[in-house]
Amino acid sequence: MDLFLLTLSVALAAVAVVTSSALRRDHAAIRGMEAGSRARDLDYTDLAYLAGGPQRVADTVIALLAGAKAIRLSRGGHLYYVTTDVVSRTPLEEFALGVVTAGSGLGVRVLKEEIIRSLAMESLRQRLTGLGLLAPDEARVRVGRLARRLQEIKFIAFAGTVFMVVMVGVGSTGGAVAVLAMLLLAVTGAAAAVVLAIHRRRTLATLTASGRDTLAAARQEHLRGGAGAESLALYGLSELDDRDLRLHLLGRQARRSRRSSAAYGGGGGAGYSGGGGCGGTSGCGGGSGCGGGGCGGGS
Amino acid sequence: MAGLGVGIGWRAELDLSIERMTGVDFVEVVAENIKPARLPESLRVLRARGLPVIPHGVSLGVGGAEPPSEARLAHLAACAQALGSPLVSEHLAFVRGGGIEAGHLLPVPRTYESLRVVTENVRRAQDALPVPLALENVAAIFGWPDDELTEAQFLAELVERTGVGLLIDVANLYTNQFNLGLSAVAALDALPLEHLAYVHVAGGYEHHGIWHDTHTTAAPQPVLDLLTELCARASPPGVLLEWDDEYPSDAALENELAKIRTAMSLAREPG
Repeated sequence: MDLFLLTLSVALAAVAVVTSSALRRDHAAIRGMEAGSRARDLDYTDLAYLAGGPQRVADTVIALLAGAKAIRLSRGGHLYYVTTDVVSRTPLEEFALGVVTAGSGLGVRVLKEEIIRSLAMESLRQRLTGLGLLAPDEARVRVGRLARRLQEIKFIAFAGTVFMVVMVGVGSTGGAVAVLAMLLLAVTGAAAAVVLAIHRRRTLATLTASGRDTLAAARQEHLRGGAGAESLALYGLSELDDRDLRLHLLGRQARRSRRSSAAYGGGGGAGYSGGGGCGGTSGCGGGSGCGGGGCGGGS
Repeated sequence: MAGLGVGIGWRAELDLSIERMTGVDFVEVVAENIKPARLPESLRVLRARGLPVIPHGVSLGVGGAEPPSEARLAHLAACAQALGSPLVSEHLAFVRGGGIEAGHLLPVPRTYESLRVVTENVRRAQDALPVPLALENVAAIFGWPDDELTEAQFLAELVERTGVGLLIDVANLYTNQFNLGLSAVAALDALPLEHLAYVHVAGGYEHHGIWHDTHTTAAPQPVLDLLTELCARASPPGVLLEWDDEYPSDAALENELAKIRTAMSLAREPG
């Protein structure tokens, strides 16, 4: 029994080593991709994608629309349709306005997810890939597959460790071989966790060399603290002058998202927001209390 | 009644907008939409700035045959206390009967018998509330047969008997004039405006010959003209813009407040 478990532990460790190596190699390959010269004439959504991926794009679109009063932000990170003649500048803005119009009152996080999943976002990604600024799909898919495999290994290793601890604890086993298997499982799980953490920091770093050059050039042109869509796109919501907007767009997600903010171009912002979901105004309902347009007979 | 100034109806959708808006002197909140023990952060912020917040009830039903619910009165009282409100407002309306909710603010039958019942209801409400009560005229969809008094006369009698304050909605006066042919100016002439607590202004739209008081558009000029007419007769302690849905930009709302101020100032201009 002990020997069998040790054999399994060794096999799992071996698979983990192979998977981790492949993951590192593929990340390196993506970062080393050369695909043409630096791109010009990028709009703010392009820059946001390069700087922080779809999350940054969604953040930037929402912040700009809210800043332009094209949508209304309330406490708790809810977004409302505004009857206005503000014209959307990009397909993503148009999409976002459409979502808020259809579901006025939705949370920032919900809108972000909708934007991230939108066809407009996919078109943007394909365009940047076509420009040679982003790594091709196949490379990113492969990296994702390897990461999922490593995640499974981590789970099995930790579950096995717990199992062994219990077995040793109840006295079912306790020999040196069993302890060795337990240690090997624990080390395998911990190592997989470390590699996955590194991967998470790099996982979005799918810029090609020219993508990184383009981003670096954009950051030289638009320094931190500068006003405008480009600053937001390049450095994130921390660039928002409007304190209320920043606070309520970032919401409770700020701390969590900061962990993954290294994002595409590597750092450069406070990360994505995500909104705070509900709360803050609980019990307020909204509207007049009489349902829709006023109180029936007039209030 | 202490001066309130120009205000806007607080709605959760507008919380940040109102907090950041210039020219807001006070707000009104629909009492049924808040819990006194857990006031919305925005209202706490506004209160901390010293803005009066008036709880505005929509479901008390002082115009009904039954006495107002003690629980609803307790809620209104708790709202007023939690918000440190100078007064509470409600509607002179019939909203339920025999356990069935109308879902609308219906006009009360304006008979002397009805007046006796409503007077008793208002007194009960006043006794239960820690601050003065003001009652609002409603936009009637219809009129009851056999009315013995106009709405203004009914309100005047009620004020005489109870001392209740008046919340005059000039948009509702306009709606009644448009739909039922009841002269709004005549109503202003008959109302005891010295008991005015504050005024509501709102927009709506005409559809198939009926004016719908929806609170979803800018106040039309006739409503603003009525505000001017009212201000020519009395100085309202406060005037409040109601907007309940299809909210425009902050700038548009601020513009509405500016239009209200202009309409008020026109009453002070000679000739």
